[in-house]
Amino acid sequence: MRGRRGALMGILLIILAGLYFFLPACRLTYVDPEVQINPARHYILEFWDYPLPVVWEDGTNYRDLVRELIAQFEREHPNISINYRPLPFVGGAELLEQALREGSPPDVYSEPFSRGIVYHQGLQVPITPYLQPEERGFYSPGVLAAIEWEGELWGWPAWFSPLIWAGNRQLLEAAGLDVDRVQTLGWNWEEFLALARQFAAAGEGPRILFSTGPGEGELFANLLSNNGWSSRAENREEGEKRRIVLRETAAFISLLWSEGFWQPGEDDPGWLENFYAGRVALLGPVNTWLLRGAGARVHQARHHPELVFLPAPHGIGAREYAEPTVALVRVFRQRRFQGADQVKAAMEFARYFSQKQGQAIAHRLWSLPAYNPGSLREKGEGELSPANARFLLRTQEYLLPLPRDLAQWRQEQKWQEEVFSPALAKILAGELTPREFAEQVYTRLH
Amino acid sequence: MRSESRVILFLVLFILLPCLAVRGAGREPSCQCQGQPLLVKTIPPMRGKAVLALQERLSQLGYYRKEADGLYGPATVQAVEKLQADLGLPVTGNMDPATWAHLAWVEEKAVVEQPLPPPQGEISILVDTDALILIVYADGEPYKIYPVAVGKWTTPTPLGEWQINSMSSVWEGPFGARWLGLSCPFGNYGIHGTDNPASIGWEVSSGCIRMYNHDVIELFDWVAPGTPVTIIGSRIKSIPIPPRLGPGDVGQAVVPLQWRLRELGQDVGRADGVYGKATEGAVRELQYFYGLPPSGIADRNLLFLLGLGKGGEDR
Repeated sequence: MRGRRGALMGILLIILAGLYFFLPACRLTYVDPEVQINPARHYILEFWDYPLPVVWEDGTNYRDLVRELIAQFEREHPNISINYRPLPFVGGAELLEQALREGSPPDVYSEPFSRGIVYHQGLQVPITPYLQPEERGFYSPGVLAAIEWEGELWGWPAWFSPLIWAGNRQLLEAAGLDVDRVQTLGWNWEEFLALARQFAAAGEGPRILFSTGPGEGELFANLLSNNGWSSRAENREEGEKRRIVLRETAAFISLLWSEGFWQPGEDDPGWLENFYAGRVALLGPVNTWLLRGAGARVHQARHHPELVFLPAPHGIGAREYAEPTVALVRVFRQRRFQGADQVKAAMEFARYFSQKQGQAIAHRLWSLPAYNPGSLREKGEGELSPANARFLLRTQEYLLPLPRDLAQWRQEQKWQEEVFSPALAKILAGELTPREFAEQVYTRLH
Repeated sequence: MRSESRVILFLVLFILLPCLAVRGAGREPSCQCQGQPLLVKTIPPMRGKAVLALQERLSQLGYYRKEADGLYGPATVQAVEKLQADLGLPVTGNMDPATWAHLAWVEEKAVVEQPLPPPQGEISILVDTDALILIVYADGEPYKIYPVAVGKWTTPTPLGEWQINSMSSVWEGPFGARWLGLSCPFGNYGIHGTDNPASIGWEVSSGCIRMYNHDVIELFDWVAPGTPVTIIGSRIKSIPIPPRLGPGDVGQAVVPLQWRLRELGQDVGRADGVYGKATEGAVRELQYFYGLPPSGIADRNLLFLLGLGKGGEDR
């Protein structure tokens, strides 16, 4: 009897011990930030990154920068080796998704255009426990808010940039626009329309040009978010208010179309050239590094416009939101856990790389380094005018959060392609009124 | 009677020799030509080792094209006449002391340095159409530099990254002693010798790269089909670029695009003037990065961004 009880107790103890060790391992994101890098162990970190098409004056390019940063890190951490894998922009994200499905993502994944905050709940390790309180203060609060989900930060932000509108200061001021006011306080659709009408009335003169067609879901989504509607931001109105926002935005697009701000069938692949040649007064929405790339080409030209960054015009009664591009350096653990010290080593490299890369690259893209963004001005802003640098710094205050995960990102893409675009085509063809558009879209989305 | 006239001719030339030597001394280095035989047109033609040696020397310079047979026949006479014409000498077809002296001078000028042993490692060639030189690289290190002639402004040498795709040691006409064909897809271009050595150092060809015959003979033995040949030059800035380049396009205009893409870190393979998959992929990558529709077609926006379009101020 005693022997049986003893055996039972033994089995129970074994089960309890198993649970004690097994349960934490089941919780995949379980890591211990207190664990230190083991100096006696040699770590090999898989590092994936996208080579940015950036060149410096001395002829070195982005790959040279990455190699230099890796070499420097390895010198400082002799027991850590980095295996660098450059990914193509087209198809690179799918490689990561495949690796995540297989449970073997890279230790560190650096991505310039983050599609969402969390790519894998379980394998993606939040950085919050590794972020020192005093370190946090150096990061842009706006960008930290954009990548926060459920109270955690899900990657080391390297640099970020808002989607903006580009203006030709001389032409806009000649048309009576208070450029400095718009840069500082923003502008609404009414002001935008008044300006556009003025240019349209001038006939063949400079004009406003959209970087996408009127039926593009992407543009519509951009206008929507600047009219108080988004699937990402919290505390947005629901229900009836959403219908109104959809209707107003559709009406705005419809109005722009009917007033001829897009030429029917217009396919102007030379809009950049036209902008820099002074044939276009306002161009949008565009990203800052496109302007930096083009601006670098025409910088030495005798006549080039004074470029001003402007916020997207927002709906009447709404406020502006800037859709950010955020370069994030994420840390993953593998399904076959390699130890909290491996994660710690990956965190150290991700922190180091994001901060160094962000500082080095932001200047070349006219974007903001996420770590110490004020350094953009300390560095003299490059070819950026002080007003544009101020504008970029101000955009931190109204950045939209990133989609929380890939599912949400895909849903937004699907909405743009399968819901907004077809409905917009009907509006432009006169087959739908804005009210009907709003009903139809609202029904599809809900 | 015939032997008498030969003796008289010889004496006359012997007397004139110092005068001719003085004439040549002002232009070029003097040479020890006294030991050279007088070779003249005769019927039947003169023959012997001296003629054979002359034929070999003329062949090295690209003047004599047939197999050396030791016979001072029409082919040899023609080669001598061409040499004399190129050097501004009286065109007699005879190897008189002045012609011997000038032949030596031409050889001395042509042979820049002693022949080198074949380079080891990976061989590649760079032709600089501005400096008018061809550099042979061995494992990325310069090994030997040759003077060359390149294309005229109206018939420029194709800039880009080619490979040697054909080799011929039996070549006739103005192409000299050897021919190294290039893989350029928009024309038949090559590196070859010349029957006009005086043209080396000038932009005079129809697009090919001309070398001294002895140089191209040496180079010929160092390369093989597939050897990379890169041709560069400041003319890259003035190559007209159409407003749209896309898959399937082939031509000189594609090369600046490929080079620019590579400068930006894109992998375009060889800048071979062919808008193939690699170029299309690199363009797509760039468009993706800049937020442009990733069509893979280099349209006006992309060309402008790269400084290659109409507004490309920095080219």
